[in-house]
Amino acid sequence: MQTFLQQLVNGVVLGATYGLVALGYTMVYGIVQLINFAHGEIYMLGGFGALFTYTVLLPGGTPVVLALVLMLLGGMVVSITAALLMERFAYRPLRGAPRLAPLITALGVSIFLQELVRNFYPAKSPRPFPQLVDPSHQFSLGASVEISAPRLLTVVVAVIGMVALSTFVRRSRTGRAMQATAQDPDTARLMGIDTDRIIVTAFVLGAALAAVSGLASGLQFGTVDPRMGFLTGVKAFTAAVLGGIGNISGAVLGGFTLGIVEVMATQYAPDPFSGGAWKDAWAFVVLILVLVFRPSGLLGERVAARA
Amino acid sequence: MQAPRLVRVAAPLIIGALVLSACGSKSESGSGSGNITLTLGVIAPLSGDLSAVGNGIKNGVELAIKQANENKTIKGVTLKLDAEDDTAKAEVGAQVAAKLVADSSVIGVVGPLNSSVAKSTAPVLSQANIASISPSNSNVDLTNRGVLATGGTQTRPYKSYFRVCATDDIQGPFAADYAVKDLGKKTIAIVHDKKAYGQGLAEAFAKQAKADGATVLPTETINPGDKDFSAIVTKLKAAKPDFLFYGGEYPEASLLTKQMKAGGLNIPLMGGDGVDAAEYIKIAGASANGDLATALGAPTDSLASAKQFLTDYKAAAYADPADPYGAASYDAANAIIKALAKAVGDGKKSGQAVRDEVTKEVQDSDFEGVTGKISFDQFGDTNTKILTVYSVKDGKFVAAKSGTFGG
Amino acid sequence: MSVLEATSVTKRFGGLTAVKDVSLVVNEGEVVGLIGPNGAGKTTFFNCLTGMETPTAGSVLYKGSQLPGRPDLITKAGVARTFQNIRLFNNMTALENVMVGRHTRTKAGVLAAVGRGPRYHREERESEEKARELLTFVGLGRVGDELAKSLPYGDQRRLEIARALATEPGLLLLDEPTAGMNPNETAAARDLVRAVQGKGIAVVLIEHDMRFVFGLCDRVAVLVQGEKLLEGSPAEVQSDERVIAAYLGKPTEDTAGES
Ligand SMILES: Nc1ncnc2c1ncn2[C@@H]1O[C@H](COP(=O)(O)OP(=O)(O)OP(=O)(O)O)[C@@H](O)[C@H]1O
Ligand SMILES: [Mg+2]
Repeated sequence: MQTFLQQLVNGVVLGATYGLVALGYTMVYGIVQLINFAHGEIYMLGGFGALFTYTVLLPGGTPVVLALVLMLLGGMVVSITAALLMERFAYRPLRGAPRLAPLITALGVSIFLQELVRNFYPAKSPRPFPQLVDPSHQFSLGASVEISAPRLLTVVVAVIGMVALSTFVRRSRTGRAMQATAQDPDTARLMGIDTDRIIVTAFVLGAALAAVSGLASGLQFGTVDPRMGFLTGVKAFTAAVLGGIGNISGAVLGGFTLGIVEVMATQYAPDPFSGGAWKDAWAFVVLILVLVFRPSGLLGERVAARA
Repeated sequence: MQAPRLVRVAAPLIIGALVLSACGSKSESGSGSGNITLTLGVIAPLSGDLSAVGNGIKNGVELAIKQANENKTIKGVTLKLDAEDDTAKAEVGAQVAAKLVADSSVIGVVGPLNSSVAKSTAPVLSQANIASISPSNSNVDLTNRGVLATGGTQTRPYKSYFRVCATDDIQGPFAADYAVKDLGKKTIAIVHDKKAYGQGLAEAFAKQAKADGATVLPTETINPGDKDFSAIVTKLKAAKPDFLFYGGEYPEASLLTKQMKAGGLNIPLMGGDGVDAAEYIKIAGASANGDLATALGAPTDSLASAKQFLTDYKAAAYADPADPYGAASYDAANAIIKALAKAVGDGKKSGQAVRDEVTKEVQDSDFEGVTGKISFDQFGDTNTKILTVYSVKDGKFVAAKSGTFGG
Repeated sequence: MSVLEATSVTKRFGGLTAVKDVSLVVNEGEVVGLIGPNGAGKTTFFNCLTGMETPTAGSVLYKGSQLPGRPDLITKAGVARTFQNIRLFNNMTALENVMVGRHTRTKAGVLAAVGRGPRYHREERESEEKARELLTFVGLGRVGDELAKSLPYGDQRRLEIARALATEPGLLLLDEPTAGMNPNETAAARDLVRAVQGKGIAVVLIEHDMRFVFGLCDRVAVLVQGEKLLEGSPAEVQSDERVIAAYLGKPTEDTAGES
């Protein structure tokens, strides 16, 4: 039981990152039906932006909390800038082109960004990331189930990010405009909404959340590396599909589901198929089962159902 | 209308990506005076996660070439370096190997770093009978040593493939003996990354550890690139192991040991030479203390023979460290240089003849290198199978024991 | 000054000229009807006015100045519309639909929402109040929190009008506002258009229900095969032989609510 609970905690931590990154996929998809495969790289850039802020911009001895806030801002600046540039120069010119075109472009952008970072941080990757939140500081959740400080932080910031985003989308002027654009862009324009701006907003918000998880991941693992966006990106995309791509709550649910499935598969899957090697296979089994019975994902109907 | 527009946008991006990835993948050192110029190739990961190690290999070779040219070791020949980046990928390895074969001035190759890459470069290079000497391939298949464990007869798969390092079938058991006999560990967890190197090493370790009387827990595996190992840590913790052996490389190993210790599983992690890297400690920090790694050969700085090499290496002011394979690569390069000197002495100066002759002479190598005696058995394996266990003390790998398996 | 002054608007789709040289003037406070058989180009004309289609030729002035080429800016300038095939934001509530209509009349951006200052709260509250007023105005006061897609057909049409009114237009374009309505609902729609007129908003409406058009409009224009056949008072148009001929050419027209 104690092992189960500890694994559950592990799964929630893992799922928090997936969910936070998945939001970026799902928002952009919901609004422009674009699978932005380079979103994983936005997450990676968030981590590197935070690292750069710490190592280059911050003077030694900056108080930890201030350092974290500034690192988050630095990560966001880098992530958002990259997202803005890719939206403007890679995706916008292809709007209205066959679907395959932006998809291939996304892959190109993804490789481009990875190699770009490699050029700035050559050779010895992964890069050590400052351990500002002591990983040996454990919080007890009862019954000797524990969570370390940076892992707890990951979950807390992820939940804050998720709640903030969904409140924003449901309860703000721009959020409503995003929903409207997702459902019917032409009509949204006729309501006076500048849909180009809404698309940019989706990229920006996705990038901001990805930067949050990039920083959290750096603090949690103590490293960032140029390829970190790939695996997380694939997982987060899976989470978005699992939850119902285009659906914001779905991305969160999908993220946690995926994280917990992976962890439980590691612990409990029957023998020849157990262990870390098979956890991804189990994750995909769950994905396929969900898609067989609910083709549009766990939270069913897409927000983006188009007229 | 749309297609050209797509091309206009996508093409620069893709080309940009390729250009960037190509940056720094290739470097050639200049040629001096001499009648003809021949080329010594290097195949190693010069970019990506393993680039520090790969550049150490390149630098060791470059140093040997520089000295040979300065000392005019090979009469009438100026040697030049062609270092190719295999990005630690087998497909890329095959491509760059083919490229070197196509260059008729290439008379030998040092590398690659990874066994998985060697499996695709060795056939290509052997086809052209170009001698290739790896400083670090430890996978048994490359010289078909695997059959020895089952009592079969060893045959040589690649006629011009050599290596100056010991192999996994020895590295794994050597590590197991140390863990069980020297450290007295009883319940051992095994984790590997499913790659040829990691899995081979972990399996050889597990077999010997069992034979030595330890309890070996069911093997766990991870994916290269994974970062969150908390689920595996929680699972292992329940089985209460007192030791963990990891088959794989430092990027994952360093995170695993950190998460193990943060998760309350306070046992040493031991790995093979893939873990024996300064980055391992840099990333794992204090968690690395007490962890162990085996490496091929004896520690470079413990060898009197390597003092001059280390001095020269330092003088050359390379960005990346010589360890772990700079010295072995230097020896491998010198084996080829010596072979070439003999071949040229015999009047073979170009074309296939010189490649054939160099391979033949490498086979007959017999000299004292900086890492020990350099000579090969009939399958291309070194006769000097020295290994060392290092343990992390105060943030540094410190040699704990050198020797050979069973010896 | 006229509210709308469309001059020689032409729209070609490849070989087909859907709207040909159509001019129309709408004065302050007027309700103008636009009638014509199916495929006459009425909706296309609206599309040209609202920026959904770019006219091949012609000019459109709103209150004396050229309309911008983008739908969102046209809405901002003061032209709003509803659709022949209802296009609500189905997965949003009735209230939210109307609040989306307030988009151009409000300002708060992402940063304001993140900061959640007092101005943001005031604007949100005002926006919601205005939206509720409009719902009440069109007779949907009770259903604000229901999803748009779950409303009955007639209510959906009225919700579209409320949403269009939320943009605070000076000119409202209604594309077949009574299509699919029963007689009671049609009567309510007539009252609603009058109430809109009472607010000082000029209205152009496309309709196939002749009684509705002739009972409501100050002027009626007839479009046939993309061309404006004639324009005049309801009495003039009703008695014109060409109009009767145009409709007799397609005898089912005036009963076939929508296409
Ligand atoms: N986007 C388009 N591309 C090509 N042809 C179009 C397009 N939009 C409309 N048309 C054509 O233009 C003509 C006018 O269509 P429109 O929808 O404006 O007619 P309408 O008067 O609104 O008819 P109805 O009373 O049936 O709504 C039709 O022949 C239609 O097929
Ligand atoms: Mg129409």
